[in-house]
Amino acid sequence: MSDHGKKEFLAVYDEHSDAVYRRCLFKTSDQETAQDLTQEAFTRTWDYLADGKEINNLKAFVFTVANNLIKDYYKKKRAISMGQMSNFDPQQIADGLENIQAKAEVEGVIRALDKLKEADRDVLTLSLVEGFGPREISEITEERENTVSVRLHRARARLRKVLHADNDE
Amino acid sequence: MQTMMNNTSNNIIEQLKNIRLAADDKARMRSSLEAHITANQPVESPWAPILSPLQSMGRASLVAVMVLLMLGGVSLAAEDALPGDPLYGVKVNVNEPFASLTSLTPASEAQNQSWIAARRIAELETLAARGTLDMAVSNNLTSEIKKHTQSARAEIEKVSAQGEASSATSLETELLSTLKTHSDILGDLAVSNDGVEATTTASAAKKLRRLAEEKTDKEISTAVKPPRPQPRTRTSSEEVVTDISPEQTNKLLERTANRLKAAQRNFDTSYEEFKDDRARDGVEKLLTLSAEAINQAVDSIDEKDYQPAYENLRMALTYAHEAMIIVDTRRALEQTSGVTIEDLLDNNMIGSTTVEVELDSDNKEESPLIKPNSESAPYKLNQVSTTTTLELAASSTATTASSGADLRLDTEINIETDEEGDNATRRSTSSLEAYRKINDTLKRVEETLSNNNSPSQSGLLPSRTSLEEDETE
Repeated sequence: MSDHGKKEFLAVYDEHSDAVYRRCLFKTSDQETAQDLTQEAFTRTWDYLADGKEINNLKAFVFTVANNLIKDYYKKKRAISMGQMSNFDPQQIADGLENIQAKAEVEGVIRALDKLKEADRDVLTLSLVEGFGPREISEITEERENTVSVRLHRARARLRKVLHADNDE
Repeated sequence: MQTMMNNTSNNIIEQLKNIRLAADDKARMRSSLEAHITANQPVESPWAPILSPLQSMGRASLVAVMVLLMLGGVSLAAEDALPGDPLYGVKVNVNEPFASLTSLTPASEAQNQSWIAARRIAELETLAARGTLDMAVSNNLTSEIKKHTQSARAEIEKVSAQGEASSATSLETELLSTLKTHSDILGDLAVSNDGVEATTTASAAKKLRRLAEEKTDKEISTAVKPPRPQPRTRTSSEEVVTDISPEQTNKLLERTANRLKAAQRNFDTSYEEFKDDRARDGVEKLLTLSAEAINQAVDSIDEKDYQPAYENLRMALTYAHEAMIIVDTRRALEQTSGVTIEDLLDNNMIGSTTVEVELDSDNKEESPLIKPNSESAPYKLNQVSTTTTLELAASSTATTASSGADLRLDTEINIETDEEGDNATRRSTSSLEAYRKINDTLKRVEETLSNNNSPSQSGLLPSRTSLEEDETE
């Protein structure tokens, strides 16, 4: 019974760790913290499975765990003003992008995202970047599916606006 | 920004996919995840073959089977079974669920769940003491312990929600003390093992410690429970203390005094069995500390100052419970695995200067093995935990070959002096003093309770509360 499920789970890690890392990075703007949270999210997901419990949508589950870890992280940190559960700092994120070829473009997108509200940013990244549907997003962010759908629609419109404004400049 | 203009916003935002973990970071994280997976394998339960037919039967027939088994005495025989034994399935899947069937209130179910967790811990310890604890069984047992601890805590929350503050506090305090004390004991057993068993035992000890420190399972539940963790109220002790009524304080006083009384009685009956007097001194010290904390609590109650009284009682309960566990575990390990403190001392290779110094100093009155200082330090919950390992293994873990020899000599001298007197005089003056102190405290509690018209006055300090029964069985 040695290494039961190990290969499969590592394959899940290989496939989704970048996405989970992005999520954590967008919420903390700190590379090391994002790495730690990512690792912890996978570790806890494994523990959950090792306890004999079932998970339907593994990717969404890891994201949910990561999201909760992010919340816990801010609860513990208390450095940021009450109620704030996120720190999106485009400069800090962009600074960490050394190895990316299309750096200029990515930086542009990050700055555009910075002009949106956090909730909009969340749904947009989860949907357009990570490919989650409204129901999955609602599970991850613990909101109603309806709310997510409406927000997604509006956030897209706002993003278009922001991008247009950028281009007009 | 040329690309931006040409693309739709969707395509633009997809650029973010280029943000990835650096390859070396990703590989590093992967290998530590891999290590974690290897160390925390889901294990197929060794009792699965026995379990599955029983599980498929349903509850009614389960009870029928149980009655039949009881008649045959199998159920009783199964009580000592360990993972891997043929009767283990009966112990875990027949005897224990039956206890749950009879738990009608959250408080009794919390007790029951704690009791089951304690039984799994005892199995861990027995296997570790025999040096036959393997990783698969250990993981299985620790995950069972975790499960039952969490169930117990959930029940304690219910107790707390019902306004039974003292009941919730004592349940949580004892659960916490159980986990911490056993974690220390396992830690000591780990040192007395070697090779893989040592690592396995140490890792089990660590898991118990972590479980104790979780205090509430809040973090885990918010981090792991999909899709939407229910908002949880903070459990037990922390929350309970915010509103302390005289009535709840008196109830806790009664419970704590009962616990001390039971621990004292247990200690008395096994006094002669302690061949290592440091272990014995350690337990005695815990009992004395408990009595002192109770005394302080009664002082506070006299001044109608209930908050510190409550805190001191919690402390006293921790000490008393811990003493109880050490006495019980010492006895249990000797019975189930034949491991005595002397065996561990003789076989042990690990040295500890603390012990050697103590042995050389000839000063046994102040057992340096117990650090909480009753005179100066204010009582604090985790004070004991770090030092309690004391004694069971007392020193299981703690002797070089040479100091082992010293100790034997030492023990022999003690036995000689011991045999000069009868039962009553075998105790040292300090021990008798401690005994008196504890008895005085218990008397004082009785007076206080009857003066304060405690609601449970009629059953003043019954010799055995239901809580004790679970523990002492």
